[in-house]
Amino acid sequence: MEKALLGLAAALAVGIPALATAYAQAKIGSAGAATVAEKPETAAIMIILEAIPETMVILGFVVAIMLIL
Amino acid sequence: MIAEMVHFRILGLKSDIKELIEHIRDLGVFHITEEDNGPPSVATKGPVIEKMRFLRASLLGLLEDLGWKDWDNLDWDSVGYLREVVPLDDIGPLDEIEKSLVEFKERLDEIKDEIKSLEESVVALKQVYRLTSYFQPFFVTERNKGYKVSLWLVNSSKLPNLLKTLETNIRNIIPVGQRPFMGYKTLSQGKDLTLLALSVVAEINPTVSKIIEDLGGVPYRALKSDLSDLILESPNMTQMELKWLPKKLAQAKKTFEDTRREWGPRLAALYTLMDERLESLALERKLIREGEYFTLNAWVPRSNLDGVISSLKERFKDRILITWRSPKPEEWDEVPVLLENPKWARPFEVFLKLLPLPGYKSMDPTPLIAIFFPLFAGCMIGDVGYGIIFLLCGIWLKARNRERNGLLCDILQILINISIFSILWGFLYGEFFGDLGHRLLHLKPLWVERTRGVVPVMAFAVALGFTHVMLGLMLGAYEGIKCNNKRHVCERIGTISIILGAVIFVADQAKITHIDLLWPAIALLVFGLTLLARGGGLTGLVETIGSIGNILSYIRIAAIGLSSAILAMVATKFLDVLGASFFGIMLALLIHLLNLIIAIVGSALHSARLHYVEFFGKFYEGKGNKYKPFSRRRETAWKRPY
Repeated sequence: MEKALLGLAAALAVGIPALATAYAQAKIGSAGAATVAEKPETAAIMIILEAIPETMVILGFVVAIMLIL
Repeated sequence: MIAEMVHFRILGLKSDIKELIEHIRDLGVFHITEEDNGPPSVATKGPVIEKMRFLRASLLGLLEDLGWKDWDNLDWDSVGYLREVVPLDDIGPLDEIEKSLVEFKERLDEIKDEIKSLEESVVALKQVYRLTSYFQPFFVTERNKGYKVSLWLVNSSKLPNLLKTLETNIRNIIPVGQRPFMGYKTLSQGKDLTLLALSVVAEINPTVSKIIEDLGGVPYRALKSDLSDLILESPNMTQMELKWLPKKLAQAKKTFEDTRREWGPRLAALYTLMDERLESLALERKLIREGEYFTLNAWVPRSNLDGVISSLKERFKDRILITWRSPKPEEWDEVPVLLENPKWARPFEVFLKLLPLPGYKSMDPTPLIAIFFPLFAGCMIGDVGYGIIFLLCGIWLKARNRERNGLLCDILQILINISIFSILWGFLYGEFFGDLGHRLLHLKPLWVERTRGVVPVMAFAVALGFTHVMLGLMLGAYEGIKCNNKRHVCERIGTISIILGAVIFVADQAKITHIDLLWPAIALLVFGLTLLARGGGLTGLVETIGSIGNILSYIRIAAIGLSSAILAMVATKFLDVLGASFFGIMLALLIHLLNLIIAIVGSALHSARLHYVEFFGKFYEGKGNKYKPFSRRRETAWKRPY
């Protein structure tokens, strides 16, 4: 039972931040694509902005690994 | 590395200005600065300049009309030849060029109009052929009876009413004793329209036509030409026309293509020459002041200084006065920035092209990117097999594009570097297409197997992040010292102290060493907090927490690598489940292909992100002006006009 709960906790630790990251990236991505179309010189800033929410899921992954191991 | 610049000043005679401008253009190293040379409107106006601008725009328009875009293969010798033989400084030759361009434009329009008209005819004829096949029997029968047949386009919804009205009217206008007659055949033309072929007695045809027109019918003409009626009644003739028209169209297109091939490079050469000359003329006007002298101010890379001086001295002897000096600190923001990196790091300058350039006295991070970027990306891929595939692809594509310089070559070199690191990391992890190397070749990891030893790889990734972020912070502190920005220095050193203190504190609590490190850790934390309070205050503290988050962010190196390794293992697992069958092998190959794409795209994107966000954020400030030498178009990175 404890193992199952740990597995569920690990799944939630990755899954919830993944959904949040996906939502944030979708919003940033569409706005970024429009910005780059108008101002190509902002491409690097857009890559940075697009990549920022990924930290959430990476940290979620770390928590999940720590829970499982 | 950012090239050192010198401020260069030339004082010369007005009579030499044209020769000097062409000479410095040939040298191609002068970044000319704008000094207070009077209002630009005066300097860049005049009948010759205006005419040249107009011609330059006309040439560009003609090139667009021709659809010529082959700038890469422009014959630069012909540009040089034109430079020698075409005088562009007087209005007379420019008028002649304009006259020729107008004539050329007229000829080009004729060819294009012919092509357009022929294309329209082909489309219409194809449609007509369908109609003639349908109506021709009706036409022949009615003609043989001596009736007049005409074609009309009518609204489908009004057709029954129209036919009824026609019948009534025909009965009324037919002379007494003659049998009223009206024959017709219809063909639907889409949703709303119907094509009506109407056959009546020849004498009443004009009256009937008027009635149909009054009821909203339109006489149908298949083509604009006089052949329209004939074609409609003869499918054979339509067929003949259809056979003949494409040949004529192909001939017209060939004429256009020949014109493009012959005149495109010539017009492009003239455009280039016009553009260069316009630039020189505008500069000439700007430099000439009152009196018999002119002054030219420019920035020149120090590495080119000796060559420039000897070349100018040799050409102009003592007719010019040259002075040069190093930039003053108050000029640093204006000095143009030229990146001069060793050959191994040069492809990585592409990363700075996406950002504003660093300031003149700032640090160029290109060599560091050249080391860390492939290291991180290789660590994520970490597979000997994948590395070999990327290496072969990179070498093959580079050999194919050997003659080209530019972005593609840089990207391919980066790919080769990543692949080399992937192979090295692959040996450390013992991976060759996942665990295939272990199964077939008994490949053993030199360090750790990623799928089993997750924690050591994660710890290593964090250590890598710690090194990278600390390096960034140290560079930030160094930049602060160079610019004499005490607040910046305090903030960066404070952050370094706090992070170091936190790491030592954790090491002490985890009993990693037997030495008591509690007090040194506390001392570092207090020292760091004091510096932070002096430097950035609360903002500094927030940035410090952000830096710790940045270090943890490097765990992605382990996470992405782990997912790549597991996906590669899944591919091999399919062979276990399905056996070495065709289906099993294909499925395994497909998964490896997918993993290859994800591996290269993901690793490159995440490595770039780690540099742009985590590393550059600590020290990089994009405030530099780009070095734009006054040179021949051939020497500059050719910026296409469209």
